[in-house]
Amino acid sequence: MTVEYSTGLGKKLVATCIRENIPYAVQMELTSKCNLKCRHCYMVNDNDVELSSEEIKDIIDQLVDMGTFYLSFTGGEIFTRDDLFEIARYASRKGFFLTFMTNGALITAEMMDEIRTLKLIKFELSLYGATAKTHDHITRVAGSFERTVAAIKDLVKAGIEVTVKTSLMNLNIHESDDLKAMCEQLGVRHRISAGIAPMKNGSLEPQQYDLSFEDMERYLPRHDFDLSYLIEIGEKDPAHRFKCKAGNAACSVSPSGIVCPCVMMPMAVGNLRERSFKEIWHMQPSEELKRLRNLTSADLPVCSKCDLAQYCIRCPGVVYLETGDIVGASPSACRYAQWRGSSQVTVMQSPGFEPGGITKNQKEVIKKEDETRRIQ
Amino acid sequence: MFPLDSYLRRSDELVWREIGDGVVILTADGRAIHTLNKVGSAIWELADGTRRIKEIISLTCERFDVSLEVAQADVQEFAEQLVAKKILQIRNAEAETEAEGGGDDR
Ligand code: SF4
Repeated sequence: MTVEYSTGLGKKLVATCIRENIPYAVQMELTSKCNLKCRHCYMVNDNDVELSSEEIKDIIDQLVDMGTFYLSFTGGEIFTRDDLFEIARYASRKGFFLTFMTNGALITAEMMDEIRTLKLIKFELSLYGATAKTHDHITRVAGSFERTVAAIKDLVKAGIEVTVKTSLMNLNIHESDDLKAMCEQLGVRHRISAGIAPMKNGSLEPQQYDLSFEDMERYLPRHDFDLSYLIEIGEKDPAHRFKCKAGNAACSVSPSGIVCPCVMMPMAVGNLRERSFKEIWHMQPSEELKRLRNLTSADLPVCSKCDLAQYCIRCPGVVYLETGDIVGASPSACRYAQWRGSSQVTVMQSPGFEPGGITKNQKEVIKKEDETRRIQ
Repeated sequence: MFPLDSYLRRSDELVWREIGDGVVILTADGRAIHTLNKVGSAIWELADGTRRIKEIISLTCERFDVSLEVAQADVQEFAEQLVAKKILQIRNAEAETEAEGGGDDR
């Protein structure tokens, strides 16, 4: 008898999870209630039904058996639930990498002691502007900027890992540089994303706030979108490139217990009030889930032949919301791919090209501008 | 070699799951991933903070039908390696008696 252990198997573990359909990352939407009214929000009310604390704890137990390592609590706004800490303490005791996805506006300094007791917890807070004027205009709640920034400061002070997330829109793109600087000052990671998803019911209303082509050209090169990643994976089969882990190694649970491949792909594949996770995911997967898992390039008639595929970040969830199916072209992804394609030509031709996706020259210019701003 | 009276406890700074035939452990920084084989997994599951090393040795003996010497050597080696990597913690008997509720939920 010998005892063995081996390390450094990250990629292998992910590959195993994908191959064996182990949902190693799960997002649980604890509620669809929210204290804010963000203009671009994709959430729809889940028939006002919410799982009880006990039902959620039972699902958490099932996730341990399913092999889930990463568990995110999202909403709606999770802090609208009175039992949030009870649920989080339970999950923490069971052992997960926990993430609280929140707008932060209901977090108070008094909660820090409670938060600190949660093991392996990190926070992702949404901030949409560097000023109250912009952020509150987007959230449609006066004072929300102030409260979110206060929460970020409290969390940082309490030693909690915080990532600030910003969706870039035509309403806040003019403050994107200031937001970046502000996050540096606050000592938190800043993750920006471009591209606005439709609502979960398919309404395209939020996309009125998506960036124009001119906005993309003007602002996006200033941010680190890693085009080298696109170039590298652009050479592979589009069916692989455009397949994410949703449906194999990742999934979401709605406030009422509906399992979906992802929060962005509200394709109901089972109800946890009726069947166990194992039945839904492994024993009797729905036809739609099986189809998602078995996609090949032949199933993507447009994208598999598209010249812009190598510049495209096509999210299957957004395609589903935009078109009602998972195999078509995504109108919003096409727009961003067109921008990347045109800027990529410049980048590729430049001898100063480096993986950040912008030229050394551009970086110098941005650095100088940043310095000037700081001096002012 | 750790005292036979001391307790073995899995660190709080990691997440572990049974995947396939073994146990996969992810450390808090997300970088190190450890996989344990069948024997290692069995010892790992016993190391919940409520058992002394000598109990783990004796249970390993029974479960894998090996001599006490072999089980002792393997459990001690396993504990030394994983304690060095800070994914297992060792607590002496006195400290454990003072602490309230040494075990975790699994
Ligand atoms: S640019 Fe449009 S058509 Fe081309 S791969 Fe992307 S989503 Fe498909």
